[in-house]
Amino acid sequence: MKEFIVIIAAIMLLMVFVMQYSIQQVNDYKLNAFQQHVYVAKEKAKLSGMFTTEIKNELVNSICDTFKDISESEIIIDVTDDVKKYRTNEFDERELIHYRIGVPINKIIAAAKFFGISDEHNKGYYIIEGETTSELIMP
Amino acid sequence: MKTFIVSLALVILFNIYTVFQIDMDVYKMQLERLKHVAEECADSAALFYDTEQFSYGKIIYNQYEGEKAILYMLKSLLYCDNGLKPTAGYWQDKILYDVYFIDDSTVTFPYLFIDNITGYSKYVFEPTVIVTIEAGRGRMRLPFLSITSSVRSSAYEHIN
Repeated sequence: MKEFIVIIAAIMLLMVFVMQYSIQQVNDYKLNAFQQHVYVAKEKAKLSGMFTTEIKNELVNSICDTFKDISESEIIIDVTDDVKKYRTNEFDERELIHYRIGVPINKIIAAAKFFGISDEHNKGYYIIEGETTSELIMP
Repeated sequence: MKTFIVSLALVILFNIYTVFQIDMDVYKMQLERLKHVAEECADSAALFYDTEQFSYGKIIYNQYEGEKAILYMLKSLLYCDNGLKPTAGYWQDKILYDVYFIDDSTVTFPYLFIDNITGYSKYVFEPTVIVTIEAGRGRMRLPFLSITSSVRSSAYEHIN
């Protein structure tokens, strides 16, 4: 009986690792997809000279398709979207397109309540930030 | 007692596996990001070329401006200081890079390109900028698992 109780306790503890594995796989898939969405949007912005409304809407839609558990308002989109940047003959930092795009990850640790971690502390933001050169030729 | 020891061993084993899995997932994602950085560097450098020669149908890269763009991108995207030592972010070793400006002034096409860092070779048929980045060690928490070299390369080609 004593051994049976130890085994049950051990199995319960080991189940946490199995659940963590699943959550890790899901989060990894989502973050890879997110990275890809940002990459595609960035490539489009290079050609347009900035993140146009159309590019931003497409980005938000593709992120929402991947992350079913977040709302549009939770997505951070802080990008060059007001002034067009142009290709220059000499490297000019002022003509770079900036982007800072982030999504919330709502479940990081499996069985968080079992470890006394609140939902509020069991989430974080994944942010991709960078700059890119514009390929738009000056009119 | 025997059951307890076996259970404890299993917990430790699962724990090691979980840490390994998380570390490898993060490393894989950072490698993909490194590829994007190499691509950004090659792309940025290829934007600058001699416009006068271009009017004669030749592409000759402006290597000075190209190098400036690559250095800026490396410092900005990989959070490096002026010596290309990362001050934040995932990577911890000094960033090494090679850039190859393959254009009408340096070679005759087709040209057999061989990368110094990776040994990778391919025939190049059009003016191309190739950037190879060596970012060093990944961040692995398990002492018996270490990756000492992380290399990604990217090319930007002008197709006529």
